[in-house]
Amino acid sequence: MNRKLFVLALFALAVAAAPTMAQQTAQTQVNMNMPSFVVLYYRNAVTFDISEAQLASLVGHASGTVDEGSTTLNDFSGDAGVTGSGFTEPSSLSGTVTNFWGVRSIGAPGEQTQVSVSVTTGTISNGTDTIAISNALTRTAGGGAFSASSVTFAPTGLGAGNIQLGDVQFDVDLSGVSSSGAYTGGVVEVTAQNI
Amino acid sequence: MVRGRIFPPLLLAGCLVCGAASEGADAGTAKRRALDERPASPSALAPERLLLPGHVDVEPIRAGDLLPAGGATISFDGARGAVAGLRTRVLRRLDGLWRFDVPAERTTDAALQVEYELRGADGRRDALSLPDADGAWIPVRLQPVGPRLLRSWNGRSWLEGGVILDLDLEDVRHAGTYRGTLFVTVSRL
Repeated sequence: MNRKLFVLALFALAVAAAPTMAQQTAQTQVNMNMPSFVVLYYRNAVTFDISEAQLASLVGHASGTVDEGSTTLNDFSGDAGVTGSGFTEPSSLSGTVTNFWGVRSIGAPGEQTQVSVSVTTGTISNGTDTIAISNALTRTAGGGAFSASSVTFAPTGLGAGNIQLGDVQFDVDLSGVSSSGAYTGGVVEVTAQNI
Repeated sequence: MVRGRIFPPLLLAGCLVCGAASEGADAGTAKRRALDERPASPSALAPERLLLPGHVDVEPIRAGDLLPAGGATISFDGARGAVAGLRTRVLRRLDGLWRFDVPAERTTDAALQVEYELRGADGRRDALSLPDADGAWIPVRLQPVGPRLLRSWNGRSWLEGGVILDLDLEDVRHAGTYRGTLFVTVSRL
């Protein structure tokens, strides 16, 4: 190696060594546990304020009066034959409440978030008569027919746009109702969990 | 990569090693050489050391970090996306994360620059990632804390510093232990 090359090599070595002597780098492993997490949003009370017209609609009529057409009688005494036809049996009604619940969740890899609904108190009473509710079903909001009491979906995350909303449907039996007024006491329970 | 503030005020400029290795010394180099040639205790001649723990377990995220202060219930108006109140930005402060052990006199004439870089377990920058789930990661912004002089004793000084992890949980869907490697670089300017 000639002299010039040797000097250059020394200089290059010094420059290359500079960062290692002027600075030090160390590293550490960082671990942080993110737990499974579910937030369930729900209404603590839902009041159905049913009007006369709505009640008529529930039992299959357009209004509170039903025109069954005309009839001809040959005597001032006779049978006008009103039948009360086209009537929906009040024991087989159903109620559907959209956006009944909302969930945000974080789950372990492979976990799903499950929301289930059930009727835990099926009697709604005004002190005299009762309305019965039963057979609660649920679905994710706007998602197809109601077919089960629970629904599962991938964890949503926590962001504002990441909420999963859901609907609920239940059977209503008005056959025991003969008096108007405020009926209270029914409970539909919603449970959210990661499975 | 995030840089910490410079400490203390810059008094020594230039490349120390270049200066020490060459004959044509500038003013900064001369000062460094003068310091080196002063009589010193054996401890003061010991090399500088940057100390970090082998691993750091960050305080886990808890429900209380995410729910509004003072309660476990939040309002719900039934409209999609209109539910407010969950906090998706969480801070975790790692004070005293590192220590820099230096001869005492060097804390008065040197400027330090501290740089932080976090890489997730999957190599992603500025993130903690979950090895058990492909693509699961938490964006993290780093906010330097310090450095500050911790103490001086027997010719040695200890500087310390840390970092705040600013965690963005907006789109995190998976639970588990998120991991990453935090690199700390202390440079003498």
